Amino acid sequence: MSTEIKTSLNPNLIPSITDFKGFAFWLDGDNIPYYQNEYSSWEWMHKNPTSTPTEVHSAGGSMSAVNGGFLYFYTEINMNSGENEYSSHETNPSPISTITGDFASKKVVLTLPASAVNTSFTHLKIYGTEDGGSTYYYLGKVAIGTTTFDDDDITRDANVPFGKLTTLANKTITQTYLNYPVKNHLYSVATKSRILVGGVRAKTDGTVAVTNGDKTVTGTDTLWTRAIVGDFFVLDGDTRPYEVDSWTSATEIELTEAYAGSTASGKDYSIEGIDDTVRWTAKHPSTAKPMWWAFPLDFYRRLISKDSSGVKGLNKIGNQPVVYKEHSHYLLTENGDDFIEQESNTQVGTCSHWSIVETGKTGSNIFMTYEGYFYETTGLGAVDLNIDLSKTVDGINKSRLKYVQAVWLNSLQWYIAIYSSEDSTVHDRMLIYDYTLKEWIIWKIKANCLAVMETSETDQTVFKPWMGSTGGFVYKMLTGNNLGASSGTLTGTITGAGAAYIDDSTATFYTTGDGLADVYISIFNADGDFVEEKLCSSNTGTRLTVAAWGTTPTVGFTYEVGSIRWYWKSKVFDFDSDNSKAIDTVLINFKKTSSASYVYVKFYFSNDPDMVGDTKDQTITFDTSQEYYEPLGLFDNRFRYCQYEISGHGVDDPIQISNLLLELQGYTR
Amino acid sequence: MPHKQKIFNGLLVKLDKVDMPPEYSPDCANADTFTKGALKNITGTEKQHTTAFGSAIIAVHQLNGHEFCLSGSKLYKL
Repeated sequence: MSTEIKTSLNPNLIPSITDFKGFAFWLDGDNIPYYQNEYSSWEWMHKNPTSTPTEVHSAGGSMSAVNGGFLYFYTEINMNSGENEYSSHETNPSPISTITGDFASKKVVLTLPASAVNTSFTHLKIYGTEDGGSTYYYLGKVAIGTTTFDDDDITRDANVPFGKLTTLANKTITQTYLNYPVKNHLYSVATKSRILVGGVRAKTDGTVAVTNGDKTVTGTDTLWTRAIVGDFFVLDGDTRPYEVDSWTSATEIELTEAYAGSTASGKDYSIEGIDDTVRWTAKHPSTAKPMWWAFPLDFYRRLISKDSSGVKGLNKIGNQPVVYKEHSHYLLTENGDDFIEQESNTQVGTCSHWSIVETGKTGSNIFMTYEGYFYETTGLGAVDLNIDLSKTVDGINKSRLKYVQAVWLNSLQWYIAIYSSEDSTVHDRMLIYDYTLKEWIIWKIKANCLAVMETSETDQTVFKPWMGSTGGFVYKMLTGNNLGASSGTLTGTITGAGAAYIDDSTATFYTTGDGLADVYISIFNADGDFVEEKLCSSNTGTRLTVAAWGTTPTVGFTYEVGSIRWYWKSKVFDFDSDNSKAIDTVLINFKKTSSASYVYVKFYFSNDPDMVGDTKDQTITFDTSQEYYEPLGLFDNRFRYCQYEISGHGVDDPIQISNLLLELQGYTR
Repeated sequence: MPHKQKIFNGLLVKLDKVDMPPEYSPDCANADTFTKGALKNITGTEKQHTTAFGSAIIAVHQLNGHEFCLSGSKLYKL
């Protein structure tokens, strides 16, 4: 049973998610930035109130004005987002009330709007000046819907001004607004006390029509939101940027200036913010508590260097943010309300914000570089982790580097990254890096996204990776030896088949909910060799349906539901001279299983060190439910180069091999 | 003469497959070599829910002990 927390988002955009003070903050460079907890969601990019409070002082009371009277404004706050009115999401002020002149012994009554402009905000906070003053102090709050507020206490609490007060050299006091909303950025990271945001997404969907001399831009299929206000519009073929002044609808915006080019329609365009800037939130001027909703206008830094690219990712090491561009990265150090950047002396950046992880206590980030390699950095210097996926057998699709995602599984010290193999247009490989052993492994698992979850298993708290699939399912990882169902038939013999299904009349396939949908069905021939696999689209108790088989499966072949096919190839052994060496016997040491499971040792022999075009020469099969006291023999073989592969497949068969022994007629050099 | 493969390590692409140490592999998949050099098959996955969301899962997240997923245009609490 799932609950909708947020709806009507522009779909299928990978978000940056940052947890802070019990809320998750979501940015994707397109949708209006928002935050959520387990109950609800709110727009992080708040709007400022637009109504002007009005004042009357007709009733008797304790207020008197001799210097011109009092001024008021209000803000909107979301009391569900903090402990009290001083730690909750608050907007900048409404328009200021009109001053009404001197009076004596009256009560000031303010009239307020009946509703908020920010959906689900709960209260209005009222601020007022002293008589004749221009500094605003907090007076009180009312719930949304309460349309009056009585000000009958002439004292003002100097400890609770709005925003930040600064005393200038000439003793005058300035009041600075802080509660400017987050902009339409793409990435975020949180330190202990601030949220930093950066990076932008170029919005290019749909086409536009512009008219010479008109500020209005009309879109077709454009999906605009008010998040683009303040960004810059550029028409395809025109170099002049125009700032977006206001948003009217998903297909209409207004520019700050009239369009000066030629009238046109059906044109491509780009709307984009400033891409080399990071911004950060304020701390409360008196309490120093985080104001995660407040991005003061001067709290930003442009990272200008010889790397002219924009911000491509954010993370942190300890309490220090790290900013990544395409070919550089920067360690930031907090200095008052500012951050000072130091550029790493290693000139590498990132291809994907989502590839960057913080490695916990080790004080580093691991990330994929813009070129597709993996590096570890302290923020000031980075080292190559020596894995080039383009040199792996299945390669990497470099056009999809920007989608690479990774997590850090601290309990195992694993860096887990998902990427697309060379010919794939979805992520179909999972790279595991054991930070302790400094070892890499590749798993062939399709995952569209990753996260690490804290869960409870047999009364213990454990941390496990979860993944989401393109098929609309969330999966828990490292939970068992099967990629499919936890109950029902997983293996069997095909008793009937068609172009898009197989039947097993004796099966009881898992049918709860969508059953085995999104699970791979693998076919094996009479020799046990893999034939093909397809995702199950639906099933009954005895029939598994797929979109279409490459070849209609043969009755009598076997199938596996959620099959794991695994292998480990050895290096290529060189025996120095052609056709003069041989392998006589082979024996593996394994952990005995209770039921029959097969491990195959396949030998490849060649006179070519690349082993190009060589098919397996011989396969020796071990049944791990049996005991072997003598090695198994091979047929006669003569070769110079040899490579062996240990492999197997199954659905729920844990296999563990501790060593392999070959008897050679010859020697390795 | 015997050749004994005592330790199974993971993937190595820095060196040519003829020149690499014998405990490393130039090509492996769905294997686990992180346990004392042993070679194991990997453990699989388990569906968190029985009925598919309408669109691909774009993000999975945990907050305050609750799990969430972003699917298409909607954020769900699982």
